[in-house]
Order: sequence, then structure tokens, then C-alpha cells
Amino acid sequence: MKPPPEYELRGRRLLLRTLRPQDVGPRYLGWLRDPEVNKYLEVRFEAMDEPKLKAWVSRFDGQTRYAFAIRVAATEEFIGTATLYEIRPIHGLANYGYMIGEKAWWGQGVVEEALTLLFDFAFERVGVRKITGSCYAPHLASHVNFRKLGLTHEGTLRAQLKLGDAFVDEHVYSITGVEWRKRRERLASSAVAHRATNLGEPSP
Amino acid sequence: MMDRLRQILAETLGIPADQISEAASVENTERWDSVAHLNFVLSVEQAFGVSLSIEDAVAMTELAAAREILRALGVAL
Repeated sequence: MKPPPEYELRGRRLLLRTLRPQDVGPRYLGWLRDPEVNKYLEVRFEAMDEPKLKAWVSRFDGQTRYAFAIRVAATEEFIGTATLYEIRPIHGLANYGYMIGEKAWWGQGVVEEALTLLFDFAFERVGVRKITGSCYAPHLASHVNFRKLGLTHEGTLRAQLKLGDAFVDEHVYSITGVEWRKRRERLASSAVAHRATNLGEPSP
Repeated sequence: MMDRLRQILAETLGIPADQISEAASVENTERWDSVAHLNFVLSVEQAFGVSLSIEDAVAMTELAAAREILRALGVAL
């Protein structure tokens, strides 16, 4: 089977590189099993092991679904993941997700930088028109991250997600490519320096 | 008169209060990230003796909105 195209997106402090099965190991599995990290992740409902996680990573073909390892640019330390999935080319839509697994990096502004790189890639390289994300209602940090990136609260799915013994609302946020480019222009003076490099074969 | 709410935000973000405008928000203030916001909400609850709902805590990602929420809760600002 042909390996997926490999992408590398460079920011000021971070490097997003295509996530590969060989990135799966004790560090990554440890994040997914950590109750602090997985509190609002669907993976907490599964008994995840290395073969299952490698199979999950392999499903991101780099053409219709994209997964990136978030790394520290200076050291290449693997600190989290970012994904673009459920891409619907006819409608120009995509969903995204992310996880900062290394807790030492929480509160360091890396979510904003990582998602800036991911959104630039989604809008400029993949060519989607609108990106959507969602969170559990009580996940305050996630709400803040959506708003920090300029996403608009689009709607609420009532009693949608299981959290403990209760079902809580799911909040949906989105941003269009037009809105993202306007935001980037506004923040141009302080924007994350970035470049995207396709290290592998071009997408068809 | 010192603006106590603005002062709390300034202390949370580690920047002078006079550099924070009423239009400040998580989107336009670099240091106001998710962890800073959690600290801001906790500090506001302690300083004004209020308990904020998750909806209020989310809406307080803008300084002007935070002021309105506290006023609605009966806090004299």
C-alpha cells in the first residue's frame, strides 16, 4: 500500500508533522489513558492498546483525513496531536480535533499556535471552506480555545454527550475560510510565522 | 477610582491594568489563554463572593461581558 503523503507545518515554536503508526508508543498511549488528558476525549470509553491505536492512525490517509503529531520545533519532542477529518469536499466542510498530551505544555499557548497551523493548512492547502469543532459544555478551556481562535458559537446539541452519570450539552463552533483570512490579516503583525512544506508525494 | 475587575484581569495576565481596554477579550489579548481564563474566573469568584455558572464563565471571555454578568449578579463594580 502506498504510504500517505507526509506534511510538515512549521510555526514559531511548534512543528506539525504527519502522524504515523511509528509515532505510537508508551508516551502517546499514556496520554490517552491519563484521566486528566482524556477527561473530555471519546477514547476514554475504549481500552486502547498499541495495535488499535496504530490502526486508528493508519486510517488517516493524508488525502481525505489528516492527522498530525504536534512537536516542539527546537527538539522535535512529541507533545500532542491535531486532526482534520469528516472532510466533505462537495460542501467544503471539515471537522477538527486536538490533544495536548504533555501537561507541561498546558497554558503555554501551544493550542493557538498548533491550530493556527492546522487551519492554515485546511483552508489554503486542502481547500476547505468551513471548519467545525465541538466540545462538552463544562469544558471551559475548550470554549476559550475556540473563542481565542475566532470561532463563532454555532449551536448547542442538548443532552448530547455522556459525562460521568449525566448527559451534557455539546457546543458547536465554526469558522469559515473568509473569516479566518480576515482574522489572520488583523493579527498579521503578531501572527505565527509559518510555512508549510509537503515532504512527500503530491496529492492527486 | 480603581477598576477592581480590570485589576484582577491585569494581575491574572501579568500586564499593567492601563494596557487593558474595555474591549479586551481572549481573542485580542495574547496572554489571555485557557489557563489564564480559568484563573481569572476563580479570582473573580473569590474577589466578589459569587459562584459563576459555566455559561457565565464562557461569556466572561470578554471584559465588558464579564462586567455585565457581575452586575446582573448584583455585584457593585
